[in-house]
Amino acid sequence: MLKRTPLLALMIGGVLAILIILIFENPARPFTVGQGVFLLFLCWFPGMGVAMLFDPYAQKAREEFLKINFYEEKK
Amino acid sequence: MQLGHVAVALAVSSYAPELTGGRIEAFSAEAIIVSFVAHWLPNLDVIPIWLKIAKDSFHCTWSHSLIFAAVVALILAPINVGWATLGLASLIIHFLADMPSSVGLPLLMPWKRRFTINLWADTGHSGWVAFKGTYMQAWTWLLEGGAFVFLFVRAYQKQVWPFV
Repeated sequence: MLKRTPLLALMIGGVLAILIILIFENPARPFTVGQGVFLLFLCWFPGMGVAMLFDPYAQKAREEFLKINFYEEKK
Repeated sequence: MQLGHVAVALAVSSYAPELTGGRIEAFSAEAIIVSFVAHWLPNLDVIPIWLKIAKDSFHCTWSHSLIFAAVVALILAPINVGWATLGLASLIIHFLADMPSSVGLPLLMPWKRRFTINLWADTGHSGWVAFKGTYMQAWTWLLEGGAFVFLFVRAYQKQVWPFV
């Protein structure tokens, strides 16, 4: 994995968290700071997915696993 | 999909009132139990494989087909219609969650054609290699992480923990 990937994930996750707050937050029930931090933590994971799309190591891992058939009979 | 199934099953339980015509409350213990059991049912096909009763190729066959979902719903319907509809929804969502895997699902069994969206490479049915391999790929992080974010939003909308 490239060193930049987790950092890129944090930035993408931050953007995603802001979008979710803008779209779903009810003004009568605003998110607390703790909930916002928890949301940022959760958004890091799909952010990591987006960042890994630009990481050659993740692509290589996929290609390697595609070569293996885990269900063929063992001789 | 691996850990993402937890978020997906919980998210399905949040739609229990809509899916059951109000018979079961969102995020209630009943909704969570039915969603989880139905959602995990297809993956129990690894048990006969572990017990060496079935071959590895048994995984993702009959248990991941629409006929299996229909049979489960038909068994549950006389007991509780709410359980049947929620269980059916959970099973179908499970199939959708597994379809991005390259191995594909034979949804129309006994017709053996497999359907796949092919976003990530299959890494086997169980074990550390399967788990680690899953999370070496981009789309699993994106979709499974997305499932947890979606669950967060549902919990907020339904005012359950951590939003009580």
